[in-house]
Amino acid sequence: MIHLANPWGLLALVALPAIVAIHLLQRRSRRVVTSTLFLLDPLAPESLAGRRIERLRNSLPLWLQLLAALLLAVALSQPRILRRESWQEVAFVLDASASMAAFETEAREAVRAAAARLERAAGRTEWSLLESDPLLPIRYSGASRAGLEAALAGWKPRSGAHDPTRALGLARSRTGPTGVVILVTDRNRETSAGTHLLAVGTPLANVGFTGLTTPGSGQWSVLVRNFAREPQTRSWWIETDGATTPPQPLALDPGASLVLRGNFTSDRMTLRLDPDRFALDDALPLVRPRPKPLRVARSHPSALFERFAESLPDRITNLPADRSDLLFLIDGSPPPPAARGAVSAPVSRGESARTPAAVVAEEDPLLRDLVWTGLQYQPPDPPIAADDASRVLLWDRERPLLSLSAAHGAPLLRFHFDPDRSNAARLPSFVILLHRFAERTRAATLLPSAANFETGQPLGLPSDARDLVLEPAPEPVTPGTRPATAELRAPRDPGFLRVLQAGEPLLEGAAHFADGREADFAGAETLDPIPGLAAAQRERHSEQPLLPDLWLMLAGIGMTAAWGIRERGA
Amino acid sequence: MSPAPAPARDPAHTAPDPAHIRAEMRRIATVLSLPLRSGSGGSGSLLHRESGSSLEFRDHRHYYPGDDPRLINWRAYARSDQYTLKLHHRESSPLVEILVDRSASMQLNPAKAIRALELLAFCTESAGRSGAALRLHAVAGDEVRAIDPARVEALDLPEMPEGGSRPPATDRIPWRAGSFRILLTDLLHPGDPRQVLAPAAQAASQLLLFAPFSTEESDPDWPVQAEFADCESDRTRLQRVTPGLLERYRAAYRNHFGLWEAAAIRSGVRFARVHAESGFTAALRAEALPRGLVESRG
Repeated sequence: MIHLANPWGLLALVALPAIVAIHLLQRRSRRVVTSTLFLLDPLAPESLAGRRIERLRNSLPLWLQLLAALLLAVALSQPRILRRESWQEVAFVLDASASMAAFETEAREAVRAAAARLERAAGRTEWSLLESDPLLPIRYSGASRAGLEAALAGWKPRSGAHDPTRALGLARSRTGPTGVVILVTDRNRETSAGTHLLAVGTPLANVGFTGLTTPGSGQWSVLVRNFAREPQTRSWWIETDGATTPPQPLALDPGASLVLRGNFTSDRMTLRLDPDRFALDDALPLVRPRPKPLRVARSHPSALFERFAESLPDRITNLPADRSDLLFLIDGSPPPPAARGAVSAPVSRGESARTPAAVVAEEDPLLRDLVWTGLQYQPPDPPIAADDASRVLLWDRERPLLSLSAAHGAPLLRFHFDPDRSNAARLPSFVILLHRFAERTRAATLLPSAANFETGQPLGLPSDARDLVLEPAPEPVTPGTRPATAELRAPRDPGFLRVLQAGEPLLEGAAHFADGREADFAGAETLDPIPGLAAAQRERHSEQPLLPDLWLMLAGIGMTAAWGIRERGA
Repeated sequence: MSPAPAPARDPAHTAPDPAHIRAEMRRIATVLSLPLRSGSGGSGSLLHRESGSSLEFRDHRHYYPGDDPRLINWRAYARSDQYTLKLHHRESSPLVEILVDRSASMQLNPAKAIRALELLAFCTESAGRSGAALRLHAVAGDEVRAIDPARVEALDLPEMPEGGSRPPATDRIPWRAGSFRILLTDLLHPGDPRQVLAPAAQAASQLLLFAPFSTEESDPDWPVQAEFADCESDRTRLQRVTPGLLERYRAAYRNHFGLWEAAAIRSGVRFARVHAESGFTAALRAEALPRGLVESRG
């Protein structure tokens, strides 16, 4: 297959009409003074075709000049032959962040156009189509451009802001060092060396909802922000159960935010803004929150546990132990099977001095970022050892202080010292640890609740719960596949959701877009490296130029011959 | 594109030298002359076409309004229902009136301009040798001016305003009855020849019509792409000249002069075209001599 290494050389073809025009114009009318014009008048109408130009005369110089211009164009455009056996690896990494939702059509079109150009740059091309979110699977891998384009159809960028480096590394590993990796995004950004940036964005004047809080059970508070660099005006309104409030205007200076507040008039409502090109943040569905209660019980009095239990939100106390979710036990007491979590501690007797502990913490989410300096406790005598099924979280030298094990499938957080005979109640780290454990327990319970989520946010339901059905059903990431994870998440588009367990409502919710980083399009821009990239790839996969000196020499001969013939004729 | 080839031309024509022309015509007038004398030469009197005292019959011609009704041949009228005049030679005082067309077409190129001057010089020289009196008129379209005969010797003709493409206004000439008349015009204008010939021929003893012409007019070699400019007006015309157009033009040119020739015959006018690019004597011998516009002397 022949292609042109320098298509601009074809500009030399402009010489062809120029030469023809010169040959036409140089034969302009000659003035003839006559005394017999009255005889000529009735013989023929005035010649329109001959007003300023006349019919081109067939002449050898003309053809030689045209041939020379043609040869010059050929020489300048540097025709090459693509090696039939050449092949290339091309990987497109689609930016999966939600801001690309505003440019989905442009991105698909850009990838199609790029693939079409790059396909002509080698004899054979292996395509890969990935998304920048490493949680998302590879969308396509193969040698068919049609397959690549078909895989584009299912691309739905809804992820939050993320680093594409891992996906780019994966793409590079697929293409090898000589392959082509193209990040398709909406703005200029730093990328790893060798990655080409295909940006399809343009600055947009976006105004959108950026956050929701429900300070009281009956109130909501929503933040609206103008991400544009110019003042913006919009209208907003509320939709509830088919009713719509009158639109209310709002004006926002560049970068300014505005808080909208109100009371829930319905369990479900949707706040809307005048739509703009980035639609994800133009609607904010919300539900009246209904927290999931945590049933707490204790088997013995403990100052630490009392204070802690009182600080728990949405708790239910004074229940029998066998109906509780979180139970505080004396060490050694077995938790009831119904409990979703238990905390146990020994009860010390006698007086002895507290000793400072040299605490070493294991890596665990419960202990993350907590500081244990200053702990003083009364070591039990004899020491309480951790059994093999337990995992020690906190050590004082070789003495375990905290361990985590399981009882009837529920987590058991075990104190290996009496907290009431320590200063643990005054150490924030213990309070935080217990709150984390309590929330983990609350998440493991299955009680009806209602909550608002951000799009794609985990719903916090137990992963081992059975017979859970999410409505609307989660979208498969690629057609014909199952959802990427078993963990239930809020939908990727704003909207309402419901989780049923065995047909009974378990969770009512609403998902809204709240990633302000993805809603700012001030830095969006367009970059197209494909023409140069395709030319470079063609260059790599082509034979040497086809006799460039020959074309130039023939063009020179043609020009010289044309000039010589004209001179001789003159 | 190469320029059109110049017509073959007598080298003497390239420079209009009045003295040279006058000398040359004086020489030619010894060989050729206007037919001012009757027959083969007589006593030096001029034969006049008007009815007169002479009993010598000369010719018949059609009656034109203004002719003397007494000259009508009533016998011929009885035979043919046509008014016919019976003309007799009569001796009269010689008067030669020459109309010189000064329109721009007469000076289309140097050869034609010189040929016109040569014809004028020849006529005046020949008339002078016959002892005839001369009256000269310069005409350009409707403009008519008398020419001082004294200036004719030097061929110093008056400049005339542009007359456009109108024919010479022969009806505006104060012709003298019975004069011997000569028209020097190229006849290159549209219109009925009778409009020119009838007023000139009326009451003339004889009317000669010399029409100088150039090869540039009769057989042009125009470029393929021409912007024609009328020499007598500002009119121009862009024209692609094809061989077919050239052929049609030549036919139209021939037809134009064929009409003049027919009209001249009908009007009793002796008519001859005089080629500008030939030698003068040869040009007269081509048509003027055979048609009696000039005679060989001796």
